Order: sequence, then C-alpha cells, then structure tokens
Amino acid sequence: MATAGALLPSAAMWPGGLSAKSLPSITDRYFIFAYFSGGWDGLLALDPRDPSIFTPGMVASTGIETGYATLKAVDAEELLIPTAVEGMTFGPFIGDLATTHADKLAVIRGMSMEAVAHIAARRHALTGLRPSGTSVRGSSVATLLSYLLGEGEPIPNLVAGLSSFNVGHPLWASGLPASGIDDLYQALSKPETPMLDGQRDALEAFFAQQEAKIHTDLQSEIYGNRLIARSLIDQDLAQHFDTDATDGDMPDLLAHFGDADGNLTDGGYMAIMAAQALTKGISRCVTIKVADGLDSHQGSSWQSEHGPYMREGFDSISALASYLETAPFFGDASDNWLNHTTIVCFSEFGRGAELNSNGGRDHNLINAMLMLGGGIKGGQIIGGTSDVGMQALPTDLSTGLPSDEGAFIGNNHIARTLLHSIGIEEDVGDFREPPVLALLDGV
Amino acid sequence: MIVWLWLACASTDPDGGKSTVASDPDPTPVVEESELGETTIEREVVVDRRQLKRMTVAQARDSMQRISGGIVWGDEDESKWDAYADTLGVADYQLRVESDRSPSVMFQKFLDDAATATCRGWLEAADSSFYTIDVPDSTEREDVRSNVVGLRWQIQGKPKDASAGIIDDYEALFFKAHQRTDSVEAAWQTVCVAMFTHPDFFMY
Repeated sequence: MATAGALLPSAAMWPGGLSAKSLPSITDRYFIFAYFSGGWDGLLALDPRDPSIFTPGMVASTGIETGYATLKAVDAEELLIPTAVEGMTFGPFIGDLATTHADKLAVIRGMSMEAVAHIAARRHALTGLRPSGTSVRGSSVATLLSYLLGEGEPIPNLVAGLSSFNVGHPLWASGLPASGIDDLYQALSKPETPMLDGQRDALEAFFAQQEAKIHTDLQSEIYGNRLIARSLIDQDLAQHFDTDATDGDMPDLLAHFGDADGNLTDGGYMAIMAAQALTKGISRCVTIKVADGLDSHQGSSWQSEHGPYMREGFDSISALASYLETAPFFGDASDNWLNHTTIVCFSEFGRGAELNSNGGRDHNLINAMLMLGGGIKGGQIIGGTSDVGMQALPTDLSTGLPSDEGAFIGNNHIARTLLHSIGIEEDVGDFREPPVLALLDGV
Repeated sequence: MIVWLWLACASTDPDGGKSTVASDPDPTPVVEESELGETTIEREVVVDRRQLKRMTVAQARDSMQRISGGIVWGDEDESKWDAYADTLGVADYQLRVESDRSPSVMFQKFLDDAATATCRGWLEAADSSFYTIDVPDSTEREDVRSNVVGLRWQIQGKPKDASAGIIDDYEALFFKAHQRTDSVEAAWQTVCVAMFTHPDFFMY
C-alpha cells in the first residue's frame, strides 16, 4: 500500500543529527493517547482516599476532602473499588477497567504538572516540554514517535479532538486532525458530488504542472498536503470509519463499544476510530479525546457530571483494550494488538484536594496518569501522594516506589519513557529527564 | 585584512626609506592564500513581500458563496464548512483559542469538496454569472480564453490579463477535460474547481 508520506521528498526534510542510537530498536509498537479534557479529579478514580478515614471532620488536619457524600449517581457502598491486584484500589468512577484490566494497568500517582492553565498544561502533556507561555517548544510526543517509527502507514499520526504539533519534523509525521469518526470518514471519502474520472485526471495533471513551478517552502507544504489529501481518498480508507455500514466489521464494533442498549458515547466512537486506525494498518499513533466537560469548578457539575464523564472515558478505554486483546496482530492468532499498543490516559492537570466554596474543585498541579498495554509493566502503582494535602511524593524511577531520594515525575519523564519503550535511550526530544524505568516491562 | 594593514604600515618608512622592521630578527610573515581557508558566503535573502496567509474557514465559505451567487456547500440551514469547523481547526475558545490557518490536508480536502459542489451548482444556476461569453458551449479558443480570464477575475480577483502565463494552463486544462469527458460543462466545472483549489484563491 502506498503511503501518503511516500509522495513527499521526505529524505530531504528529515532533520539531521539522528544517530544509530537514536533510532528505534523496537519497531512493532503502536501508541494511543487518550485525553480526558478539562482536568480530572484523582480522588474520583485514580487516587482515592478511604472516606471512613478521611472524614469531613478530619479535613482541617488532612487537607483532603473527598466529597464522596455529595456525589450523585454513585452507590455509597461502592466508593472504593478494590481490584485483583494487591494494593490497587480505585475511586468510584473507574468503571470496567478495574475489573477487566487491573493486572495490565500502571497507575502513576503524584505527578507534578508545572502549570494549571488549560492550554499551557495540555500542551505540556502533549509535547512533554513545558511551553513558553502557550507556545510549544517541540512536537507532540505522538508526532515524534510517528517520525521515529517511520512513514509506513497512510496516516502515521491521527489526532481527534485536540491539537497536534509539529516543530521541525517531516510533513508526513504531522497529526491528521479530525473532530471525530464521522468527520474522518468524510475526509477520506470522495466528494458527495464526484467528478468524472476524466475531469479528475485533467485536474491532477494541471496541479502537477503547477507544482513544478513552486519555489517556496510554503508552496511545497501546500502542494504536499494536497497530494496527501488525494492519496488518502484514493486508498479507499473511508470504509473503515463508516459507522452507518451494515456489513464488514462495523456492526460488531458498534456492539462491542456500545452499552447494553447499544448506545455509544463520544468516547466510544473515538475508541472505534483508534481501533480501526491501528488494526487496519492505517496509523501508528492515535490521539483521541475520550472524555469532555471535566472542568468542574461548580459543585453541581462536580457532583453529578464529573465522575460519570470520567467513567465513560475509562469504559471506552476498557472496551478498546479488550478489543485489541482479542484482535490478532496482523492475522497472527498467537499474538494480539494490545501486546503492541501502548495506551496512555492523561488529563492536563488534576484537581484540588479540597472542595472550593462552590462545592466543586479547582485546578491543581498534582495529577495522576494511567498506562497499559505493550511495553508497560501492569498491575502496579507508581509514586504516590501524601495523606496530608495530597502532595506529590518523590519517586524512585527504577522501582516506582516513593523515596526521599527520588524525583517528582512530570510530563517530561513520561515522554522520555515512551521513547525508551521503543529502544531509544538517547534524549532525542530534549526532555532533559530520565525515563521511569519502573513503568516498562522487561527493563 | 589586519595582516595586510600591518604589512602596509610596517613597510612604509615615514622617514623616507629606512625600514622600521629591518632590525627585527624574525622574518616578515608571509600570508599564504591557502592558509586563509574557504567559506561559503551566504547570499542574503531579501524578503520583499510578506508571508502569505491562508483564508479562514469563514472567509473561504463566504467567498465561495458570494462568487457563485449564493451556492451553499451543504444545506441552506448549515454550510458544511461550519459542520466541519472542529476538524478544520476553527477556534472554539475552549480547547482552541486560535484558528488553524495552515494549508492543511483537511482544509484542502474539504476545499476540494466544496469547490466541486459549488462549481456544479454555479454552472447549473439560473442567471448564473459563470459565463462572461455569449455562447457558453463554445469551444472556440478565443471564447474559452476569454471566459478563463473572466473566471479568474471573479474567483481569484486577478486582473483581466489574457497574457498571464497561467491563463495558458487553465486553457489547456479546459481542453484536456473536454477531450476526456466530451462535455463542455464538465470542462468548465474542472477549470472552476482548479481555480478555487489553487493557492491563488485561498492564500493571500
């Protein structure tokens, strides 16, 4: 299958300075970045506290206010969700992940985010580099990984529901943006009022003639992107994202990712898009937004919406992991896609340990993250937060345990870890922090 | 340069002929040309015009509608430009506070879709302004060239200059499309799509 990127003069566009050491030694790896938009509340899922200990009366001394008693739509008996993994307990809105995939989960607690403004924090999480103001200082980690893993797929870097950045990497590694699976389907489809073959042939010949006359980088980008757009249509990729299809894989996918009534959340559609993009050999990295509306400063939204929105996102990831686990890796029944796919669930920052005066929660630097799948050592908690004010605890990066001699894990560490997971030990992204080796399987 | 100045000064005797360096036991240094090394002198790049910008989605939508006499890509209720706003990177001031103005893959894909639909609607519309010639189905070279000039003026805002080099390209496109489809209307639709999807339309 020809790739879109293959149409470009890629060799000339590759940045120099890559040594043999900085090329991936593990090339059968795929990545999904799942974004929970708005800043999630660790107490509700990834970093809970026992409400029988952290009672309202203890807030003055602990600085931690679970607020569990004010939550709507949650059973008082199910505030803490134990798992089959010893010591791994979640809050009430972790969803199916706790029961179906706990042994594969690596939860990072007590991360330090460095920013509590949405845009800056989100860009830091996406790029692994703290931005200058709101200006990114590097490419998205997904762009960097796509670039390092090569242009073998038609859309190496698919991004849905959030921004993507390319600073100095080839055009083909740029994130192809789509707001959702339906827009992606349209983008990969022929126009609804198609032209005749003769018209299209003449048009392409005309633009080839025009391209021969270009002499600026901007013109190169324009004509390069135009070729990519045409190439994606010609490869007939749209069929994999047609949610109205009554044949092929789609009916089964809709059933798998839907609830008992067959309804799908936005996160469910995003998960289908990611599953198809990977398993059909279309993408190497997929970034999706699986939960929205988490910026719950108001008590009403925090009590009734924040948790359910998070759970929808986690359920989408759970369904995605289950699907990938049963999907043979390129037809090899003895292997599956989850073994080769690293899933990273993140939000731009966490929320405060105490409720604000509105009964909601404000932004907080301390955050948590969830990873699973290929290359990730599951069934473990990395780092932690203190029982007073939920402050980040320094962590030994090789064991994952809190240690006074350890480091505060941030986005830079995670980005470096992902590169390390494909065998790149050199700091090619200039993250200037070491990898969290405890996260990686077989290290 | 400093060496040469030094040599020039040192060899000039202000008292008339008596060298001031003659008593120096060290020999006069000799500058070998090869010791100077080589360097590439970068040509200074003079930017004599500003960087081009891409139209916003709203500008593209409104321009196409205005040019075509009101043809809407999509439904009358909602243009597809608006339906695809998120994918096209239009600022929503929540997740995104700046609109994407790059000539991205998605922009050009949907621009092509919009142009295909708009051009067809424009050609088929009653009292269409598409033709600036008396005989729309003429394939006489002079007529074709005249209408290309008129279309380029309408779509891209370029002067009605029949001698511009790109007029030849559009004319060749018309005849190639006509040859392939045996349809004058299809040939004109092709030229129209080419003009709307050419950077001369969406970059300014």
